[in-house]
Amino acid sequence: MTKSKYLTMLLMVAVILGFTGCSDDDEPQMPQFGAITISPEKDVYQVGDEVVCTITMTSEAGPEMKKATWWWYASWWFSNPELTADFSEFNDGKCVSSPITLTEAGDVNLYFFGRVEFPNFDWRKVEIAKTVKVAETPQASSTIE
Amino acid sequence: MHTNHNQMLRRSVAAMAAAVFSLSALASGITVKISRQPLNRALEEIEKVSDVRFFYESSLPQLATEVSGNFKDASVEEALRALLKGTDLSYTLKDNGATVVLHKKDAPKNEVAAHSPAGFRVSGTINDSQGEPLVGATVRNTTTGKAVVTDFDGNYALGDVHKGDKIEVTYIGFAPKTFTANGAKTGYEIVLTETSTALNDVVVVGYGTQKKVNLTGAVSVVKAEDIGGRPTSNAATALLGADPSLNLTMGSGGPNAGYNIDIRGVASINGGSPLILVDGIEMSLTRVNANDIESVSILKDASAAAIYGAKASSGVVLVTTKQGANEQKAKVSVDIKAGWKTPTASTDFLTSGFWSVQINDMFMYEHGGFGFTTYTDADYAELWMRLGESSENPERPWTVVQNDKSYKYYANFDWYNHYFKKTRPMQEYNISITGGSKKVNYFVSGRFYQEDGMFRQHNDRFKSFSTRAKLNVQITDWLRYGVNSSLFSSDYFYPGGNDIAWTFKAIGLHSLPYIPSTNPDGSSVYLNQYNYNGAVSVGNGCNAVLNQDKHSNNERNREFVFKHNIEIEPIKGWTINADYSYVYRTYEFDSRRVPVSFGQYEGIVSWMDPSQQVMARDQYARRLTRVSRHTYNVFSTWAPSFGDNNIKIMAGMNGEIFHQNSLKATRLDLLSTELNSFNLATGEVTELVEDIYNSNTRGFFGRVNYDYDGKYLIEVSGRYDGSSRFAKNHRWGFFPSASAGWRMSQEKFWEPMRDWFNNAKLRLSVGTLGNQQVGYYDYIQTINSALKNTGTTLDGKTQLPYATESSPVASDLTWEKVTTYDLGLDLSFFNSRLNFTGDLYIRDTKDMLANGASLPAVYGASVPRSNCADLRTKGYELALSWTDDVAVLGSPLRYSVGFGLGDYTSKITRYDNPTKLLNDHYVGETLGEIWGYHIDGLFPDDATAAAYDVDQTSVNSDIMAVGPSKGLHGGDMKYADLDGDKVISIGENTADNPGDRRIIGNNRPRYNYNFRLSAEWKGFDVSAFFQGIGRRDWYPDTEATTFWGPYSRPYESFIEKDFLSQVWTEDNPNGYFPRWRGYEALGATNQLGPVNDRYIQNLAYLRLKNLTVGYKIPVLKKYIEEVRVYFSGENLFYWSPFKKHCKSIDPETAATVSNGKNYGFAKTCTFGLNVVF
Repeated sequence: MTKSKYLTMLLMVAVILGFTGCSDDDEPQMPQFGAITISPEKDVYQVGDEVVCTITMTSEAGPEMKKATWWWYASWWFSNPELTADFSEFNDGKCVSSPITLTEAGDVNLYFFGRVEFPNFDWRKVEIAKTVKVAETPQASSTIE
Repeated sequence: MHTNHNQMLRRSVAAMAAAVFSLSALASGITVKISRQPLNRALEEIEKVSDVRFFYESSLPQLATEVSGNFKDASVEEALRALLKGTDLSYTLKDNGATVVLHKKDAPKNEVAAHSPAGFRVSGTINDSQGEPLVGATVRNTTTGKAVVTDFDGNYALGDVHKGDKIEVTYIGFAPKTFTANGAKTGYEIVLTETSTALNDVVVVGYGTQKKVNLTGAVSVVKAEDIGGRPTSNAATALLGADPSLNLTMGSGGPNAGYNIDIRGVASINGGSPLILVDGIEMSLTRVNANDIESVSILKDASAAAIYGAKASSGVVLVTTKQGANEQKAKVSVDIKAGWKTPTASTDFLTSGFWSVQINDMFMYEHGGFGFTTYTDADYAELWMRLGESSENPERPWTVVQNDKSYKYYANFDWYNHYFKKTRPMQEYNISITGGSKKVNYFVSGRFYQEDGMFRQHNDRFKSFSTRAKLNVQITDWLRYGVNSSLFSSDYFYPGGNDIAWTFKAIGLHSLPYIPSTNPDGSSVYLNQYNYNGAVSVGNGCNAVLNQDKHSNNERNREFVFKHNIEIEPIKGWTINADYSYVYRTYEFDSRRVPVSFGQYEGIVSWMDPSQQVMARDQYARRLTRVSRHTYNVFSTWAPSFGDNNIKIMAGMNGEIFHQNSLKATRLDLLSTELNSFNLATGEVTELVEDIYNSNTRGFFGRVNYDYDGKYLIEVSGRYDGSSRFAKNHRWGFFPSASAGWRMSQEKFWEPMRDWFNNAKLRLSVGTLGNQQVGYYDYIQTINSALKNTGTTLDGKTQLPYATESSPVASDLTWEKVTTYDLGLDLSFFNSRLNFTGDLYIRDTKDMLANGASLPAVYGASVPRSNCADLRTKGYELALSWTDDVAVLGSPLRYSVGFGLGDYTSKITRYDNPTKLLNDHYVGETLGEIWGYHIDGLFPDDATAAAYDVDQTSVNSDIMAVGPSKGLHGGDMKYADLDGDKVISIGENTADNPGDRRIIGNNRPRYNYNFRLSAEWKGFDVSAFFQGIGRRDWYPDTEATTFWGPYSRPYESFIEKDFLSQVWTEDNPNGYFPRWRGYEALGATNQLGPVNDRYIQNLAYLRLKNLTVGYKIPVLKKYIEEVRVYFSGENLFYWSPFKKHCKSIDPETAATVSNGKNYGFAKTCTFGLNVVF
């Protein structure tokens, strides 16, 4: 082989090694999700309305995942100071929250959280939010006779 | 032709430099004839015959002026001056004279230097005494500062010289010469005389000075330029690493830290430190201004130190401060520097509340089957949702009030940055005035230093002030008087408890990131009930104490020193010296604690229980210590010469009277939390102690030096010493020493080599010194009384005062004796540019105080200590240095490189421990040796662990007994069964039967080394000082929680961010630490507790101890001698193998404190201005 061929081969090896080094093969594959849907679907909710949130997993995590924990978070509009998370599971690719009673007016964030555990304590956070508008419930008129 | 190796070397160096940089072209001679030509044509003719290029504006009307000249071997400058005469043109040199810019006389702006034709040039050749040209010698006009260097043939040409200018010629290894240019003469042929500077250095030794070349003892010298000007708080920190024989370690990185020091290792198992004399007065290096120091001599062997007798068995450090010189004009030097300090070690700790709880719980659960916190999955979810939020999000508060009004925490709190500042300022101001008339000289200095400490809530602050004044007066031709006085004052305030080391340890526990420092109502967090045992005390109470900021501690040191000395010279060559010095030092410490409040429930203020937390006890404590020391010396020196026989005889006496008185008092319950006085205390007096120590030493000493023609050197000295620290019949001892030197290089057979190998000296010394560094009253039994004896009462209530008697003492207790044998070699090459010094030594310490033979139990007391142990230390030191200057761009570049290395080991050669029990010293023991187990890695899986047929219960007590996964599992440590008995044990715990242990390391510093680089060029200076040790082993203490993290205590506050990546798991089989489990490092019988070779740490390090870059600004030369701006950094970087597994503990901290927790070492960056008038 000529000198230039050796150089070409060396260059190719260097390029391959370079690409290999830059590849993200070690990066664990995280699950993907669609948007949060709320039922019943309304433009503006009233305080006291009860809603249910649903999220869809559009692609699953890679096989290296060891464990995943999912929950809905609704405490910020619950009045109970002992905060609590609404743990849930995915069934047929869907994760549905418990019924949530909207207790405060304004723009309210509804959250879906996940903790996806990969080996070596490589734990990843999932946080997906949806904002809904909540209005005060109109006071029922009373008649004085 | 006579070949001079030295010159050849210099020519080579200069030739290399010339290949890179051009030398002055202007100085080269030209021959050209110009006859009535326009100036521009004349310049073209010069360009043809020289390397010079001219630049000018072609519109200059003067270029048309007709000029003439006949130049023969003239310099370009000479030709140019002649051609420009009569015009209004001048010129500027650029590119080292290779380019000449012509311009009108009033034109030059932004030019390098304007030359006035009114100046003249001096030129000539610089030769040595043998007629050899000196290449690279510096010729400097001290009036204008302009300098040139000689070329390959020793030629120089210095322009722009005016009548009266002083011209200085310097060259390393030669005496400088100065002449005044008178204008009438422009050629100066200079001959410089060799001085062999390094050899002629005068070294301060005991009771006198000696030429370095005549030294026969082992003496190292640290010069002022190596320690002065550095941003260090005192002389002790400035001397760190300065010499490989000097093992100096600071007690901590705190601004008020003390230090430990030894020379060539400790001379005794009972410790002992060198005698430190500052201008002959015993004092601490922490109270000396490093900028005052002229030189430091380290007397390493007995021969050099013998003259100081009983206090010098561990060597002597002689610090000599600066002084004025006669007929020296007054010089005022002002130095101002300011900068900042930052930690040397990483402070990148975990601040995630989720991971804090996760780690605490998982380590605690594996230990006991329950979590550290009582947090539920919902609480974990709360923490996870806040993951990554470094500040509180109103939507996700860090503190949530529960239904029972208790606080529950979900924080991501950065405790390190809450307690400590990462950057803290320091400033230093120095002024000195020195000078002298014909009969009087003086040196006066003052210094103010201030450093802010690490604590953030209430900054600790150190301030010190010192002055020194020295005056020498030649009263008559035969009488000289001197006075030397100094004052040192320091104040250190710090918050929290009185034991600052305890504070560092305490805040390292339970200050967990999921817990914030304060509650929403502003109260401090102390107890947190959501914990397995019902209450976790945050920072062991330090959080609330520091937040409340009512505790205070003040340390004040004051030291006054006066010394008067006279020198009488009755006849030439005979002097009589007498001096008296008085040192008075006071140390005051007052400490105040007050009741401490905290919040655990919303709306309720709680108070710490003083019975649980002593820091919350309302008390005031004071300590007062007064020390006075009177020292007197009288000695006489006679130095006659008889032909080639030179003799120096010195004899004298020394005495010291020492007194120390300490008073300690503590009283409880003060009427105010703001005012601190015993007058306000109403409670119990818990401490009232007085300690009084007196000692008296006296010594008679003598020394005789003899040399024949500077070739054969002999020194004999002896000292007869008495110390009150021994019983009457054992108080006095005689300690002799002798040394000899042979300067081979002075022999005739050396003649052919002397050109390049100018000095070789062999030294040999032996000497014995006594060690009086024992307790003040070790030779008698003492009775100690105390206020009360806890637990002993007559009425069931009142505790009784009591007294205790010390252990019996041996009736024949006497001096430990230290004998040192030293073989040294000093070599100098190339006119002392290259210097080498090497020493091999053996130091035998005999009759060390130790426990005597075991006595029957019926004896009823501890075994009396007696002189029954011996120690042998063997070691070596090497030092190599190179100093030179070369021409770079026509200016001298002066540079030096130095390297030092030293090492030693000490072995016990006599000790009353016939069975060689390892919990005491034994014959054959190397001091500092570490015995430990060998670990054959971690079990890869449960099956392998279960199949291991060796019983390692003795090192697995918790694993085998408690926890949800009892027994050995994958990830546990596999202890090697070295003795093959299938049981891991310590055997009989003797050196002959150590069980499964062996020697796995040594905790003494090995291979001390340093190297220095420095260079000066055109007003710029740069110096770098690196220092390190090659090996030092450390097995982290069971409480070294920053190293072990949750393996020690699961609630460690400061866990490195990537800690979990080092933990063994099935997914991480190469993890450094074993499978996670709390308390495994805490107990001596748990798997990480016993010392072993897997977790022993090598504390070797290389540290950039100092980097200084400066520039002398050439301004206001008429009024200011020197203006220098500089950057100086201390401890800027370190490299250590220890960093592989622990980045948050500095290796020097680990070497100082077994748990690795203390005031951290700091790197310092300063910018300074030095002005000399």
